[in-house]
Amino acid sequence: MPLGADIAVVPVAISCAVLSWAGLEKVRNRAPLSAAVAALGVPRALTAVVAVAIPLAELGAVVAMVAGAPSRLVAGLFAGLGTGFAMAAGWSMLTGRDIGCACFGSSGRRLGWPQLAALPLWLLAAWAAALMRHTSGQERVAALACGMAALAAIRSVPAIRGGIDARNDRRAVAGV
Amino acid sequence: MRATTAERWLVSEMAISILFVLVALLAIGVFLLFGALAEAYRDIRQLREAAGITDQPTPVDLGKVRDATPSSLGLHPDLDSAVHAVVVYLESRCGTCRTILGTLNGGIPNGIWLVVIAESAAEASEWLAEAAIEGHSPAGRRVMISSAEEVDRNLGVRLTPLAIEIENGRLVRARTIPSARQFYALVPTTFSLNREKQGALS
Repeated sequence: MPLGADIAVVPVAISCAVLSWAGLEKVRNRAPLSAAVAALGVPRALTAVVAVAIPLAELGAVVAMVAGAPSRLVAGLFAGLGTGFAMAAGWSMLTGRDIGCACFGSSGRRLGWPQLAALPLWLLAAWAAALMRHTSGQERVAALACGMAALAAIRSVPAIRGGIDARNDRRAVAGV
Repeated sequence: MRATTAERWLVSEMAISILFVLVALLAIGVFLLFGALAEAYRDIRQLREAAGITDQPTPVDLGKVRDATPSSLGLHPDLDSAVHAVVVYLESRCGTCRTILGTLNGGIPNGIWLVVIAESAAEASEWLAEAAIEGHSPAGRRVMISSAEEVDRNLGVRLTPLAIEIENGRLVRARTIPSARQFYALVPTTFSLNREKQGALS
């Protein structure tokens, strides 16, 4: 087994983690993505469809990876999503529109150079997905479980910090 | 017999895979819940900021009295030789002031001096007695009583609760105290090993 096939697991795993986070945040709250799609100039009738299709494609890429779908399909989804993000950023810059990113749900970040700079990384992940060694179903499901547990742990940090701040302010007002 | 073993192995493999799937689904649920919780706290924070009830001290400009000696503003002369001390202005009409005084329970942290703003000495004594601070106790020695007019005249501002920091016998900075928690965060942590200077600190 060539070494490259083993190393290829790393960018694929990172891409799956990024897409899981982005897709789940967009599923939880579709408003920021709908606003970004509308701001890009997509016709109103298609805005809702695109706002649903993007998180589905992101999560679909992860599901395809875990389900052991043909590597070309996974590679195609990685490359397609990365190209789509870069095109949206390029279009917003060309037209001079100031559009919220909505990459990982609601945030103050804007569409622009970061999405363009990420395109080579998405293409690298697509190439790695095509090159990656074959893994068993149980290995992939175990990786998904561990990865999602890690993402949930990371996601808990801002929630816990927010709770501590709220408690301190409650003490400030109520004294207890 | 071999077929049975193979079947058992297959079943156990499937059970482990199903367990991993369940863990993954549970983690996805937890991820979504934490996301919703973080967003809810962000919403609450925005509401708190709009209502002006965030627990953050606000700097207050001392203006002309910056670098003045404490005694020139009617504060205790011992503060003129303090290396680091904090003077806290409290007023009985202010809710946060009452909360802060209620937490003292008869003792004032080292390095903290209180200025009680009251209409009369009797009213101030009554209020201090509620916090179990006696005039002749060691803690009571670090309490000063002042009228609202005197504070206006000396400081030029009347914000309560207000903390004024004194370093090397000079007024250096002031800030509001939005909570009892922030009051205890003011307690000076720098103490001299010299007993005589320690006395000046506290």
